[in-house]
Amino acid sequence: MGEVERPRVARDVPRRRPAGRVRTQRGNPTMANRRKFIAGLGALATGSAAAMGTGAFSSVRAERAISVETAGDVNAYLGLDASESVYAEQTGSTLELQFDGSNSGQDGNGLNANADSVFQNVFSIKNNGQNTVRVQLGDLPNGPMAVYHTEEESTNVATSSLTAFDTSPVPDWHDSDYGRDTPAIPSSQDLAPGDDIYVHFAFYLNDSVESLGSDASTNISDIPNTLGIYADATPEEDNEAL
Amino acid sequence: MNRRRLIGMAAGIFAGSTAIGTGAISSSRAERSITAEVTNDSEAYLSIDSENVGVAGRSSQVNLGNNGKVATFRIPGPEDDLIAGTDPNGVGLESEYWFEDMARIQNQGNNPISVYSDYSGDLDQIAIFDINNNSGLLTSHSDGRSLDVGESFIIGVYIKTGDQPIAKYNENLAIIGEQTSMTTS
Repeated sequence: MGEVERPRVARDVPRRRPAGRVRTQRGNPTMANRRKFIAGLGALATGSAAAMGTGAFSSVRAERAISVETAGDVNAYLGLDASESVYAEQTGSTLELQFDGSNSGQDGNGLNANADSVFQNVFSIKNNGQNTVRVQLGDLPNGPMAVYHTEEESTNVATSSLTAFDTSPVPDWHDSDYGRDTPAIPSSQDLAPGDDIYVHFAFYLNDSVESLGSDASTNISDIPNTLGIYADATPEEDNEAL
Repeated sequence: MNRRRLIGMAAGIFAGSTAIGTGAISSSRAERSITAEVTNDSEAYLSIDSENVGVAGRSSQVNLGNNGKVATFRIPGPEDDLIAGTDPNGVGLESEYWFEDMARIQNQGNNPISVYSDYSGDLDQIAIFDINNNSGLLTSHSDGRSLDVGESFIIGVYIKTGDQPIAKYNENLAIIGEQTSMTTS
């Protein structure tokens, strides 16, 4: 058959990120999740075999069986575990983030007005797939919400100990090397099979402090209504450097 | 492993000549033999090789007895739990998943073709894509992957879920190869 093996090539990240899936819902910053997952980074070999056609055909339609199992978020290929905190809940089969008192485990009914609030270890993301993936969030608006992560469950109350996601705004005082103003993506967003990360949220509503800068929103209505969670095969050149 | 099936085995002689009047033939029917072979997917004119490609057993071939082996796909695959710490139950809801390296499609016919998939079932969408090309899903003749005679490419399978119940869905995905021009290359 004379197949030609080409070197392994990895796909660029991210794939097809849908723009603007934000629907503002005043006073109810509840977020459903959207996620994408690429499984099976592979040998991208295109074999060009010699033309050994034994017959002409004008069309072939082959119905093939494919069985697909769906799973709740915690057990899916991209696992999202809401059991880490009372601010995340698996409602039905999908994770929902609740900072509005709607979870019965919360005593408060919402965020303090004109204040900066941080919630650590809200939920965790686990790679249940077979290859290293890079977890990314969809584009976040410039304030008032910031999203951080740590490789382990955070035990440090200082926000500066958290690493910002590469699309998240970051306070000026945070000495993070990452965030939306930096092109680099932290390697902690790359998850080997079986690994997880913990996700933390901050809401900077204090308009006299303006933690996220003077051009960032401190208006609660700018908290997005949905959070896109994406996982894509880590580019191979980065993978080798891990 | 090819099994031969002869259609019209009793190579037909069925001459209906009901002699009425002048002896003209009012109807005539001659059956001629056709030979057609059904072969394994990997060896067919539209070759779907799901045995030498694939991750975690998600791609395999099922033996249909006389009809050869046909490609079949399972998400999650039977070996999706072999890496320590991973044991996915399936794809999440309201999600889009791209599974790479599911099968190699090869044009073993004599014409250039366009390869695409067609699906209608209980999930929001299932479709194939070219893992080497980010141009999107192959869901119509015009959006399909062009394959010259002898050429091949590796497909991935895209699955989009909505708010369906958590369940196992036994679906069918049509993989289609259609001639793109009359000229043979």
